[in-house]
Amino acid sequence: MGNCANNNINKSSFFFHSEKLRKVKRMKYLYLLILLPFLHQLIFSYAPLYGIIISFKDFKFARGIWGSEWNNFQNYKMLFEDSFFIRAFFNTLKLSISSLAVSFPSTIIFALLINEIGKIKFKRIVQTISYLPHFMSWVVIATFIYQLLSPENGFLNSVLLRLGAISEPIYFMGLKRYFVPMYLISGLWAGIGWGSIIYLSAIAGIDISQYESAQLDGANRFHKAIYITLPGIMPTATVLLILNLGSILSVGFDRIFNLYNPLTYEVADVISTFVFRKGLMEAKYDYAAAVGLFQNIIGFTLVMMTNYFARKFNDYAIV
Amino acid sequence: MLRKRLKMFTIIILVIFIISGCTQVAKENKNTGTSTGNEQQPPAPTNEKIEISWVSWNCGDIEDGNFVEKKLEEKLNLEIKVKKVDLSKTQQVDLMLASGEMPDCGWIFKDPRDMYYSQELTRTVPVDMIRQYAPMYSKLIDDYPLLWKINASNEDKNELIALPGCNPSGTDGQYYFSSFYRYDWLQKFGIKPSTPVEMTSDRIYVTEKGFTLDEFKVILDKFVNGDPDGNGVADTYGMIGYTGANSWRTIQRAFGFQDGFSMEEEGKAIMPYSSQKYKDYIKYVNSLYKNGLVDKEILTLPADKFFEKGTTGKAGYFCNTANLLGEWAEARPPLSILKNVPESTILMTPGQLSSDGSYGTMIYNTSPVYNNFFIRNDVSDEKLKRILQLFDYASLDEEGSMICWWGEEGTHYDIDPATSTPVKKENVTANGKIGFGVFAQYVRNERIAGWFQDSMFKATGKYTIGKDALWTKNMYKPYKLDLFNETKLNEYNKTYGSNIGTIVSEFFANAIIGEINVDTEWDAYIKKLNDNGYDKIVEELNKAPLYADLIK
Amino acid sequence: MRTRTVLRKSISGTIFDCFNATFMILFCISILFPFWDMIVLSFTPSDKVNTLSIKLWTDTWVIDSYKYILSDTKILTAMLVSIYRTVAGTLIHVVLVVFAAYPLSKTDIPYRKQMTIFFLIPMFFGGGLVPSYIINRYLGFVDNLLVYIIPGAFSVYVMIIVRNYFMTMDKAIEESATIDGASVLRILFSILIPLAKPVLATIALWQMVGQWNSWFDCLIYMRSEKKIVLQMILRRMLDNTSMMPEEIRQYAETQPGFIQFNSKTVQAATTMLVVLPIICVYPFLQKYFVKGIMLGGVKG
Repeated sequence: MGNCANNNINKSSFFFHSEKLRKVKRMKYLYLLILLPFLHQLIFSYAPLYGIIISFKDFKFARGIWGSEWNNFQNYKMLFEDSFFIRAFFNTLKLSISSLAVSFPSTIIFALLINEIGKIKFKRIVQTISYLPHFMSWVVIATFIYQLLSPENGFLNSVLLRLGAISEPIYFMGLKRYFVPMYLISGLWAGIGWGSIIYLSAIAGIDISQYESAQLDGANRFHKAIYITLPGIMPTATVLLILNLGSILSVGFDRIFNLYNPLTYEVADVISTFVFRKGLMEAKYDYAAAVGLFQNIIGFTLVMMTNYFARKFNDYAIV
Repeated sequence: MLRKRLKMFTIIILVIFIISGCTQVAKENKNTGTSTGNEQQPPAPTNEKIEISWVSWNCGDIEDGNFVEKKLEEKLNLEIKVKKVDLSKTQQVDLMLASGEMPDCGWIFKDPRDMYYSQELTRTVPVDMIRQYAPMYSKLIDDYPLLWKINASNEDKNELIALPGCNPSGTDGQYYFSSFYRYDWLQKFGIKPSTPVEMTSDRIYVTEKGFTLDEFKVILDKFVNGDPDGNGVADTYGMIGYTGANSWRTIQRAFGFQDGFSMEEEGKAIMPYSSQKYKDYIKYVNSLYKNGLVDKEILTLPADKFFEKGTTGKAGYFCNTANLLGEWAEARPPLSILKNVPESTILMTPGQLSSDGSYGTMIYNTSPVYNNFFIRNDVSDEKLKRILQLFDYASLDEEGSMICWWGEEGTHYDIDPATSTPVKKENVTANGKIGFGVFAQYVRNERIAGWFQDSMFKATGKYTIGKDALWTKNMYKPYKLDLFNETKLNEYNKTYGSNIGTIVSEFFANAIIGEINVDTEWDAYIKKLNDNGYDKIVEELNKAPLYADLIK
Repeated sequence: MRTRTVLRKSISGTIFDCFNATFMILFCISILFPFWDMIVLSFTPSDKVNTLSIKLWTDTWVIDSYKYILSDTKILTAMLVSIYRTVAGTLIHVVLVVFAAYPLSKTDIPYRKQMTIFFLIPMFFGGGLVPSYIINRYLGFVDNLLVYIIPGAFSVYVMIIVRNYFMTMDKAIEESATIDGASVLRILFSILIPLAKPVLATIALWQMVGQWNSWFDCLIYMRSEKKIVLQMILRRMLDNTSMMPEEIRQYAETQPGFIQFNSKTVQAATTMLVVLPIICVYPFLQKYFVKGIMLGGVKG
């Protein structure tokens, strides 16, 4: 047993200590396994972190990161005093949140719908086709959107004119009020298929006997979907939601860049495109680093917050 | 207990973090190179083989040991290493500079003041050295004395912070923004320009002066509504163009300004986008747009779609550079129109005629400077001498420039006996194996510039080539220009430029399609500009010298 | 193969099925439209090209674009490089992820919370391009094929998903194996991994697609033409000049050697070439999904 100290706490902590050591010994191969990813993280994720310092300095190429002078939060000041950055920030939030709010339930519903398809062959075909857009770059997709919404001979305008709903073609891509709907719908169209893959896999993992007993209790298809399938994929959904909140301020550059233009800057200009235009004048790594850190902090806070709430209400969390 | 462990854990992380960061210091100091090391070397005899690293345009797919590189190494007793960076990819360039990988020398698309004063990446070159080791270049620059002054260092007027490129064709007609009309349509409607029309090449016509704004409006109207292609369907466009300012330059000219150039209003220098003339211009364009005389998609159309639209032959007018009359632009309008529509003919005019009779669009380069050649900050004088020799030889030497642009006679090109100009051989395509256009770049005298002027373009020479050409005499020049960086103008442009640009393009676009009313929104627009630094820019602008004085 | 014991006699059920099927068909058509347009474009002769509107048919079908691409050794090499990075990158990634996910899935492993936090932090914070470039350069990754698979060999996001999956798997099998004397490693390889095929298939699919579509690291790190990926070639064709400032573009286009006019048909054919292989991967993985994956939550 070894030396026991006089008071109880020490006694129990010592006991605890040796128990722990024994565990570590037993699981030593596990630690060996995790060593490899650990090293990888160290080298490729932790080491570059010193770059965060760039955002606090007046970065001069010739002096490098360490040689450049501290500039007293100048970069951050410039950022927060810039009304265009603030506009971009709010646009990013708006687009990101509405995108999440729309695509989240839609993807789940889409997964449920696909699940309801009876004929296996048809189901497979639909699935495969549904995720084709994921493989097209936004440059290509944007071309089609422009064609579709073109004020001359575009499909949508022709249909609306023919139906008599409008008397003159609408210049969709040039009007602010259509940007957000266009962004959301095109995002849904492109992402719903790919996004549903993980839910479909989760659905396939639900215990079949649950369905059978529900059937005996008189549940119809709708009931089954709502009371069995849906709760069955909730854990997955929650985890994904939390993880995706971390990137809430990272609205993709490609997508916006190919879809926006000066007419829609006011609602479409997001942080990534704003930084891009600023970078055209001069590559300011320090400024971009400040923006990056800002985005990271917000993402981190959001995830931690949601994780906390998720754990309280749901028992499902990531930490 | 748990807290203690957490603390220990955090400390370990921080330590690792700091250590990994510190190890970077050592590497970075090595990479950026301190300027103290090289003075210790004894002066080497000039025919010793030394190594020079180089970067410039066309280095994206360059291969080691390419033809031109080998030839130069042979002739000048050098070892040349070309840096494989594609200058058109700004990310690669910036990363190269930021991570200390800049080669010994090269043509880089950066502002010399930025490179030298802000980023401290380059060194100065004494004028005497240039005269001694790059004599042909010096002679060329002597024709444009401004070039000696432009890159002069603030500390010593006899040292340049970068070698300016010199491209005379940049100041004459090649990049001249011109109006292109379907001449056969004009003829169908009986519309004639005020000056005589001359045919310079097959089916290409040029005239000295363009149309007035009122005439222009009528023309566009006829193009759209008059069924010019006679097929009974209203499927023709008036004016087409693409995103950005360039499609509008000819129209802007008629109002007396050009986008990007400072102008005078009531004795003060301002940028055009805050002037009364600009206001009139927007209203005019809006009236064109409203009546369907301009392609509805003009504000969002990318350049390649614009070319396609033009190629269909359904458009009557567009504005673009005069050098479209060249083999390189065969797949673009106007040449593609000529190809696809056999009965078409093209009329080229300068900008629309303004009420005071002036019509020239902008000078593409406000000075003959075209780009800059930089030397890295730790390059020794010995190496610099060899670099200058290479530079001179490749750019201007009769033999050197032929090698760098055309290759080897017989293998890559032949001399056309009639015109005694080189002609590329059939199956020779410029690529990384050969290395054309890497060592000779932006330094061109008239002989070299002539190679790049297509015969179709040369045929319009009376109007476009040379200081005394009809259009060149009329080119629009800025009112005030801070060429020598004597004010804070360039600095302010960098800081405020992006936001001001956003404000201007948003206002323009919304006003054109009629989303906002120019008259009522004007004051708010000006105020927004001033809130975002425009007033500072105007102040600096007025401190700058007059362009007319500079160019003397 | 699941058997359905559901009786589908209800009317509301059939109506729903009709609407569902119609919706799915319309949705699929809306996706096939642009896709088909691109296929048609890739077979169109280059002088008949008109991309201003969607074309569903062309009068003459030619394979010139494909011939051109497949005869260009550059594209063939790039395809090989892309295949290499997809296969090797995915393998390394899955291995590393499992190596981290498995230990962390054991709720009783000492220092679990600390290790999890260690992995989580970099998911939110990054140092940016410049330090990563400097580090990778120091490691010799510039113009090196390894840069495609090593820096990106681990992803915390994916690791968490796999970890959660392991945690929800039936403990009974593991417990009985332990009692039988199997070592921790043995349990991992012989028991857990075969059972975890669905989640591993999912992450493998994600990684394969990600690797196949990557081009940015190619842009930054690669110098020799022999080592670039297919996606990079496509990128070059598609956004040739749109990202360039206008002044540079005006000049650039008249230079010898500049890829001035990229035939739209070649662009379309290359897009096809890039998209098709990866689409074919999914059906092969589908069989792993049938057994099911259950991404459970974590309690505490």
